[in-house]
Amino acid sequence: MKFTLKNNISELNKLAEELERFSSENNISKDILFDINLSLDELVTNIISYGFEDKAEHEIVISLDRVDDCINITMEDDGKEFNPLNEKEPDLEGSIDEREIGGLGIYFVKKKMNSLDYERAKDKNILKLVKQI
Amino acid sequence: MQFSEERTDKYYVLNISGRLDASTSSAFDEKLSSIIDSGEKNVLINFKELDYISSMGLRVLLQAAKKIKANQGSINLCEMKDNILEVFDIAGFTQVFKIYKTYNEAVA
Repeated sequence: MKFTLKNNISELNKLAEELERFSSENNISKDILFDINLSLDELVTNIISYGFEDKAEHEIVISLDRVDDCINITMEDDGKEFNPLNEKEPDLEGSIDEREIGGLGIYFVKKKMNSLDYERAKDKNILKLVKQI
Repeated sequence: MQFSEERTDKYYVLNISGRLDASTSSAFDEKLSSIIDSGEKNVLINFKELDYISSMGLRVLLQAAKKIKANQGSINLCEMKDNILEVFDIAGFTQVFKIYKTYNEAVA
């Protein structure tokens, strides 16, 4: 399936609805759905929050395809270049005072997905993710 | 996302339900900040009806925990679903927050 989100944070609701539909059509468990929703949520939130320097409407195109025991996901956006694979890992140790706010989102994606592949082409970020079932 | 509040002997309890993500985190932030600003020191957040959390939810919780700690208070959590507990675990937040399995255990 393929769908498009606009660069508005309320679109996270649409993301959740579309993923629910995908998981019921493809017989995917609640746990796997949670992991996919979390990963795409973090990426979409990042793109909407930091990806665009103008105030114009932009589109984030997401496609999902189940092939045997893999869910292949592609995300495309025309925001500024951002390779999540280059993000440094957050420091997960420390007390309340020492812990820093932020940096967890992309870390969740790396933990929850089995592979990530980034490409910048035609002024677009193209991220391919694989989740094994 | 929806809230309800109650008071026990030990805690000011905030029940949260629905989804805690970037589209709802500011409402959660406002609610939690108003409780802390009113001077509550022992806060329990009941996750029983919460279905989903993203890093934006954790961000609000960490900010609130820092703030309440400065007042010699603490934020405690209970009734977390397995998926949500796993998110806390990956983030190292099981070390930061006291997480009770059940509400009864928390208020005992």
